[in-house]
Amino acid sequence: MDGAAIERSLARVAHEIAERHADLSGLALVGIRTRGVPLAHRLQRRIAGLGKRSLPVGTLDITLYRDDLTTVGPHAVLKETNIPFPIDGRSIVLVDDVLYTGRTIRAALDGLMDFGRPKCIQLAVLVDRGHRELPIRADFVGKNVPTSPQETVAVHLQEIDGKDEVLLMSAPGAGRVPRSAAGRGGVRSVRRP
Amino acid sequence: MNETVIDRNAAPGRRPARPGRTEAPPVSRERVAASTAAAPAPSPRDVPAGPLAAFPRRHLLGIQGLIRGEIDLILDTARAFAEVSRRSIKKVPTLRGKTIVNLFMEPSTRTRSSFEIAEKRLSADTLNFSLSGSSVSKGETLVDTARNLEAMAPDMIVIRHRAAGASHLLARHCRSNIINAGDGSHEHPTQALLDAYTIREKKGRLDGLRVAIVGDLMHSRVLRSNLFLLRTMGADIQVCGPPTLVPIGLERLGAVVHTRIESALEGADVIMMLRIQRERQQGGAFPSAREYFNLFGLTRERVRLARKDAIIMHPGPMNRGVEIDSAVADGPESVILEQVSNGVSVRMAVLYLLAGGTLGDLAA
Repeated sequence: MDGAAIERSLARVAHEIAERHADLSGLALVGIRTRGVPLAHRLQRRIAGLGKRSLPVGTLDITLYRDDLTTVGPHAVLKETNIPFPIDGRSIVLVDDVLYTGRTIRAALDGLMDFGRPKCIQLAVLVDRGHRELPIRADFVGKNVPTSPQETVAVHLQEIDGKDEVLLMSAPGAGRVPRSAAGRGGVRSVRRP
Repeated sequence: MNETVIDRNAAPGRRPARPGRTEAPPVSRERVAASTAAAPAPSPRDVPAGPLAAFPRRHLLGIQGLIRGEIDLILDTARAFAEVSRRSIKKVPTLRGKTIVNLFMEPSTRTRSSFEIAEKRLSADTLNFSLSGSSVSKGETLVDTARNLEAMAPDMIVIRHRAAGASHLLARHCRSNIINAGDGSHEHPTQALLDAYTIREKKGRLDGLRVAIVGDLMHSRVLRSNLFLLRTMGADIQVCGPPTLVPIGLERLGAVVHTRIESALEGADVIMMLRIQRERQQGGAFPSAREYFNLFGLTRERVRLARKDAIIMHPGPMNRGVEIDSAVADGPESVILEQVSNGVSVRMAVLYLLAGGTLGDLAA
């Protein structure tokens, strides 16, 4: 998935969000660190570009809400959470790059609830790669990508990585030949170095 | 990489480096000696820059031996935790199900309540244990007390003790993570960290700042931890106190020693006052509190010797009219109460980092 494909997906998601919420006044976007944050800002610009109002954007670090603090090795350095608006009674669209097991979203839901009682929470993701371990689904999906659990989906964004792309990587030593990129809806397959 | 969860750092090239993990000494070889005056401080220049991705230690026994990246990691993490204390629901579930024992064998209000609030905001279960009302007053040794506590399987022990090296002793005998909350005249690492955090929030950096530390240099664990930290972070340290309260060899820890407060304060970015610790002094270090105030007390006039934008700090509890004038303590340059607020964030960061580092770092 290259830069143009990412932009097309975001454009469609922005339209869907605007269509689903006739009244955008009670809506806010919350990006999940790290790559959900630039995606939330891009969606905000796109929705504003549709002639709609500019939505407030917050950022959420879910590190403190993870269920694997002591079982996974070094965790990411904790970054600040910044939700500069009251979420009580508001509709929130959570934004993240990849939806996989659903555990990140579970943590994000818990984190968001500590800030108040939103009217509803919806989920927008750039890539849904399947393999859910919790009863969680996305309301807005940029692209569905069938994957195997041995593979890794890497989303790179201009704001963080200097380049827009989505890569599907097969695990080293898994002995699998990556399926053709065409079969993955345009997501480029590469061997993991 | 764990395949069952989304590892946000799993992409190649995005994996955080873990340089500190290999450099950290095994716990069994942690320095136990309390005589810090003779120990050479690490050169601030030969350590990698930038924060590490994870804290490579099981215990926080002192600042001595910490490298710049470790200190940066704690301060950066504390910054993220400050946001939790600004919420209306000041609680995150991070340490849910963890038990933390606060073993305070010396009087303490600030440090103890600060740790307790930090623990509660991280959802840990806390057990407070103090000198009075415990079997220590019945003659039990520290190691026996700790072993008995440990039989109840706590995850961390925060210890304050009048003997230097008490936390090191516990670290050798216990499986829990140990945090030193002050051991005698040796170290008080979380105080130095919250001081550094306060300075960094106010000044934006530590490197190259001129820090004047005035007071009872002999008995101050706050001074020793601050010397190690400020030197590692590249600050220029000036200290001053009555000659009877200046330990021999203090220069070797990287400080310039003054006998007149005026010369120590000149051009300072940060003024750190230390408490006169009457409970540790044998008496006779100086004739009277009034004389001490006249020679070493921080007054409005003396503050003018420092830079215009200098900040004034005190680890508390203050002796007003002995080491600091009330007009200065409550003045616009004073960040003394901010230090207390920042203490909670810094302690949350320390608890969090030690809890996260448990599995991979169990010393063989």
